[in-house]
Amino acid sequence: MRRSHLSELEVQQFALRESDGNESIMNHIKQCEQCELRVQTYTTLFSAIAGQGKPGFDVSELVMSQISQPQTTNVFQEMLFYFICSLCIFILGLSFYLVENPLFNLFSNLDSFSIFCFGIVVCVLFSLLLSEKYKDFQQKIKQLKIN
Amino acid sequence: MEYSDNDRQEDQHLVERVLRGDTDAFKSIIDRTQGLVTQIVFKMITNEEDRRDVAQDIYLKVFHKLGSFQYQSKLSTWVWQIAFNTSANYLKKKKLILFDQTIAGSESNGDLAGGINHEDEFASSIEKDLINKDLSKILSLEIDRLSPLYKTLITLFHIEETSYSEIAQIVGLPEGTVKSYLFRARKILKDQLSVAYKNGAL
Repeated sequence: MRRSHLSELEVQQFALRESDGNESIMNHIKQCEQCELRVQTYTTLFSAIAGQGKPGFDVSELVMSQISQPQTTNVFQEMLFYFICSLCIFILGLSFYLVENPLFNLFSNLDSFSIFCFGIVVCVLFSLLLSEKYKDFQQKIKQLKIN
Repeated sequence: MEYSDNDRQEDQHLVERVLRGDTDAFKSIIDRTQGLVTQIVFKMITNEEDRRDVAQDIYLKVFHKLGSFQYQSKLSTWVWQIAFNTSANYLKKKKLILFDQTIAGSESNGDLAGGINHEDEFASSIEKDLINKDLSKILSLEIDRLSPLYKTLITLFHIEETSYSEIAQIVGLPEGTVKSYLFRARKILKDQLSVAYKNGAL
């Protein structure tokens, strides 16, 4: 049996049952009250730590609301989308074909100032729409930005 | 740490579902890992509001990086790694200390059979009342006083019962270093509780 007291590491390992059944350590602890108490201190400390409460914290709802939900591949929805697009193109093409002359006359009869005004309005509206889309894009990127 | 084929297949299935756009699968990842992520965030970060932000940030990163997951460790371990790294980055940004090397160094000197001063009385005192409420309260305060890394290691090992090898993967340190830091953290806690007993707090 060893005469010297156990080191702090040996005491911790014994309390954690990590000593691999080292007989000299076990025999020493049986004979030495001091070392037995030291082991008991750690054993008590470990059970007290294990008994510490766990934080109640739920982030799943917050996270799920922030994640942009990718569309699940729904064949029917895709078909509907393509059908509506094709229908729109067809209606637009047909309308243009039917009112081609009046439409052409509408623009050709306008003076250059009116065309200029019309062009300006279209450009301003397009710029506003573009800046709004860019802001939206920046906001989404910021949310997903990795530090 | 073993990453069995069953675990790998299960992880692969879950990741594929998330990548296909199944948000329920991602919620299931959150449910599986949230307990330990919360523990890591709570031990590393003291500010209440920041904890919530960091926890959200962790899962947004997981969602964003899921496509690049290499299956070299369990999915849950990978999530906890991200949780630890994100929290450590937060501390770095706020110029807070993750781990005080000077304290760790000085504590390691007390390795030998010293420090039995008030320990005997302390041990017999707490032996009488294992579920001492004061002990639990003071222990909680003493754990909070440890450095964020020590707090996290103590929590992962003693509360969450995570193995040394998995802790090593999570915090990105060698297993031997984890064991050594845990030894020091336990000794600091025991010494602090002995001092508390000496001062009559227990």
